[in-house]
Amino acid sequence: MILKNETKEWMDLQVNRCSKCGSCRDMCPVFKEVLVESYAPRARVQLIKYWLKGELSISDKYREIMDMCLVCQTCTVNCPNGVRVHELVLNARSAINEEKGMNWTIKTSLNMLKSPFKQEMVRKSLEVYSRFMRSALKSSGAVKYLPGNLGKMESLLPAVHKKGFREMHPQVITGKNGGERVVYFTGCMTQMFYPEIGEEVIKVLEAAGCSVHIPRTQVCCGFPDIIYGNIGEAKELAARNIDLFMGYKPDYIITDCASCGEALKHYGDYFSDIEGAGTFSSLVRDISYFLVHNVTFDFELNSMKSIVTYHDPCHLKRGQGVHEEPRLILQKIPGLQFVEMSAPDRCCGGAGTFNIMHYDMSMDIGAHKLADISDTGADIVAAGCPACRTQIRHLIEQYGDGKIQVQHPVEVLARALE
Amino acid sequence: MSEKSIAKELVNILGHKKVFSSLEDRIAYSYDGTFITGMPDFVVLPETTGEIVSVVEFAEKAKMNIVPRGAGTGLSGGSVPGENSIVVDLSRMNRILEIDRENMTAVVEPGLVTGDFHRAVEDRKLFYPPDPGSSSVCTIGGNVAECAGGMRGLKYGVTRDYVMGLEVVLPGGKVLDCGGKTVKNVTGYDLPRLFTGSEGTLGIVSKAVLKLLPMPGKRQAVMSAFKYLDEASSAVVDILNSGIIPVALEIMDDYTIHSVENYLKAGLPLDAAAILLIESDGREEAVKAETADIQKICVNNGAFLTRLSQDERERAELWRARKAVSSALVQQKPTKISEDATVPRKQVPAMIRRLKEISQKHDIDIAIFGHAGDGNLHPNIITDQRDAAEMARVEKAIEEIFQAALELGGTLSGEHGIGIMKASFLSWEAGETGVEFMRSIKQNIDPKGIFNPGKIFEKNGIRGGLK
Repeated sequence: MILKNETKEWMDLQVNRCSKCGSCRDMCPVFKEVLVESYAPRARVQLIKYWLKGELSISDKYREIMDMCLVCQTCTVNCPNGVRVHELVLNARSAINEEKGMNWTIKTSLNMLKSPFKQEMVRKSLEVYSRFMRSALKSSGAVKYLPGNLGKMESLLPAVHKKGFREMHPQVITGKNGGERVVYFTGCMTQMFYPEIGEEVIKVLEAAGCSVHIPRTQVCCGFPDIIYGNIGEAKELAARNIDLFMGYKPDYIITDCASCGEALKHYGDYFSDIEGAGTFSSLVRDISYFLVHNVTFDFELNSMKSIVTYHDPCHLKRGQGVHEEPRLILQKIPGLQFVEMSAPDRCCGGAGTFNIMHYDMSMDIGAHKLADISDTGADIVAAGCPACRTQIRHLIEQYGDGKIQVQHPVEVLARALE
Repeated sequence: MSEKSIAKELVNILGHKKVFSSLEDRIAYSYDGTFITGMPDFVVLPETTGEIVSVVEFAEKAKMNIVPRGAGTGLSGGSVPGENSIVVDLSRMNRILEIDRENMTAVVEPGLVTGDFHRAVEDRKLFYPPDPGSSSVCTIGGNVAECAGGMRGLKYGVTRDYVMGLEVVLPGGKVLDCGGKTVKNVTGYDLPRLFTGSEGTLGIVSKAVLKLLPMPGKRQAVMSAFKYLDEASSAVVDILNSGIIPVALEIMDDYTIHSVENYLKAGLPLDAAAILLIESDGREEAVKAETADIQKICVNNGAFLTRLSQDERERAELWRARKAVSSALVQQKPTKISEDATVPRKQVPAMIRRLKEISQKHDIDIAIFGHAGDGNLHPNIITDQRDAAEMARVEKAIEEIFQAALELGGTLSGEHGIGIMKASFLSWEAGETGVEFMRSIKQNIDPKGIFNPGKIFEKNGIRGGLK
C-alpha cells in the first residue's frame, strides 16, 4: 500500500489490472454469505474505479460496501491478475474519512490506544466493569435483556485482570550468556486481556536463552488505524515505537500477535521516511517463526495427551507467510495428536472489530470455522492471533459445545515445557 | 411506470432483501468478464421459480427488459445489461436438488457454482465433465445459457451434451418442463438443446437435469515442446488418428510460453515454437499405454523435449504453466480480450499462421493458446483499454480474426457465445437465411423482445462490436 501523494496513480494502475474475471467471488467470505455482487471484491475494485474517474461520489452505500471487508486478503493473494484488492479498500477507507470524517465510535476507540496512559485508563475501567457490573449482569440474568445482540456481544470481551501485562513484569529478563537480545512488542491484546499469552512467551524465550526486554511505554502498532483508513495517526504511532525499540539495539523484535506483526513488518514500506523504519521492520519476527528459524529448538518437552488443530490467522498466513512454523512447533510435542481442519486458512470472521461492528455477518462467517473446528474432534484449537482467539472462543462458548479450548501455539508449547 | 413505483412493486413482490437499485449496486451489475459495460435499472435476486415467474410477469407489465445473470464471468457480454432493464441474478438459487446414482443424473438449480457441483458429484465417485476455465465461480445456469465448454471438450463434449432436461420460465411467465432423465428421448423437438446456448434470449432456466458419468480412475499428463509449429500440429493429428482421444490437448505458442516463463519461472523451453499439454484418463493400464504412445508420436514428429507425469503432484506441476496463462498475460498489458474463434482441427496451424500475420499487420500483441484438439483456439489480444489508437487497431484485428476463422471453415465462437461482442458478425456465419430463421424462433417465443435484448442479434442494426 502506498499512502503518499502518488496514491491515486497507484490505485489507478491497480483498478485497471482487474479483468473482472470474477474468481474473487469464490474467495470472499462476505460475498459468500450475501451472494450479492455488490459485496464481491471485484465490485469493490470497480466502484473504486468509478470513484477515481469522478463518476461516483462517496455515499453511505459506498462506505458500507468498503466497511464490509474483513481485510482477510484472500482475494489479494489469489487474484490471477495480482490486484492488491485489500490495499485498494484501505485506501478507499482513507479517502472516505478524508471527505466524510471518521465514524465517531471508531475514532474514539482508536484514540484510546494512542498512549500507554489512555490505554491503561481503558483497561482499568474495563477491569472495574468486569469485576462488578459483569457478574451482576450475568447472575441477575439481566444480560439476556440487553437490546439487540448486546447480550451476546458482551461475551466478546475477555476477562480483564487487575494489572496490565507489562506492569506485572520486570522490564528486563536476562537470559543465558550469548542468547539473543529480543525486545518484546506485547500488543494491546496481551497487555490488556491475555497476560497468560505473554507469560508463556517469556517462559519460552527464557528457555531458549534469550534476554527479553519489555518496554513499558510502547504504544499501539497502528494496525487498527491502518485498517480504518487513519493513516496519519498510524504513522505517529510507528515513529514512537521505532524510536523506543531501536534504542534497545535489539537482535530481534518479537510479537505474539498476527496483526501487530503484519503492521510492524510494514513500517519500512508504508513509512519509509521515518528514520530506522526499514531496519526496524527487518528485525520483526512472529514468535512461532522466531522459535523455528532463529534459535535452536532443543527444548525438553513432556508428553501431552491432547488432540490439537490449528487455525491460520489471516494476518499471519497471508499477511506474513507464517503457516508452517506453528504446525511444526505443535507437532514436536510428544503425544500430541495434530489434526488438520478443513480450510484452516478461512477467515474466522473476527477481523479485529468487524465482529462488533457487524456482529451478525461475523457470526455467519464464523459458523463455518466453528463447524470445521468441531469436525476435527480436537480439544484444543491453536491460533497465533489474540483477535482470532477472542472470536473463536466466543463462537465456541455461544454457539458450540463450550469445551474446546483456544490457545496460542506458544501456550501449548509452554505447557509441554513444565 | 416511474422508477419509484417500479422499485416499490418489486419490493412488494420479493421483499427488500432481494431488490437492489442504488447506483453502487447498479455499477456492480454493469459488467461481466469482458470490458463491455451497461447499467441496469434494477437488480433482483429471486430464490424460487415462483419468484422468477412473478418478476417476469411484472417486467412485462412495466415494459422492462429482463437480463438473466449467473456469476457474471461470461466472455461475450451475454449478461451485460442494456437500457431499461432488470437484472435477474440467480446466485441464490444454488441448491443441488438430487443426485441420482442409479440413473447417473442430477437435478440442480441454476445458481449452483459449477465447481461446487464438481466436488459434490466427485465425492460420490461420479463425474460431470464440462469444466469452463471459470468453474470455481461460474454457475450451471450460465453454463447452460452460453453452452460452456472447457478443456475436456475433445473427449467429453460440452455443456449441451450433459443437459437432459430443463425447467424454463418463458416470456410471459409460463413455466416449461422439457426433456427428462432418459438417455433416449425423441418426443417432439429437442427443446433442452434449443435453450442450451440461447444466451437468456428465450427464457430463464430455473432447474436443470444433468447427465453424469462414472469417475475415471486415473489421470496422467504429457508435456511436449516443438521447435516448429507444424511439428506440433502434425503430432495432434497423428495422436487422434492413432485411435487415442485424450481428455485434453492444449497448445501454447511462443508468445504465451515467454509470458508464462517470465511470470512463473517454471523452466519452460524458451526456444520452443509450441508446447503441447496432453492428458489421458481412464483405467490405469489404458492410461499408461496411451501416454506412452502419445510420447512416441510427439518424438516422431520432432518434439525436442517431452515429460510424463508420474504422480498427481507432477501432473499438477505440468498443468501449472497452462493454468497460469491468463495471469501471466496481464503482466504484459492490463487489458486482455479473449477470443474463441474455432476452426476444424486440421486447420489449426493455418489459423495460427493467420493470427500471427494479423498481429504483425496491426502491430498488436496476440497470445495464442487453447484447445488444439478441438480446434478451439483462444487468441488473446493483450492491450490497454486506455490507449484509444491501439484499441482502434484491435477492433480491426478482431474482424480479421473472425474472417480468417470463417474462411478456414470454422465458427465465430466455440464456447463463449455471441453476446454483444460478436452480434454484428452473426450473419457472416449464419447467412441471411440462418439469421432470419433464428430471429423467427426468437420472435415466436418472445414477441415483445424483452428477454436479453441486444444479445446474439444486433439491435436496430447498431453494431454491437466493441463500442
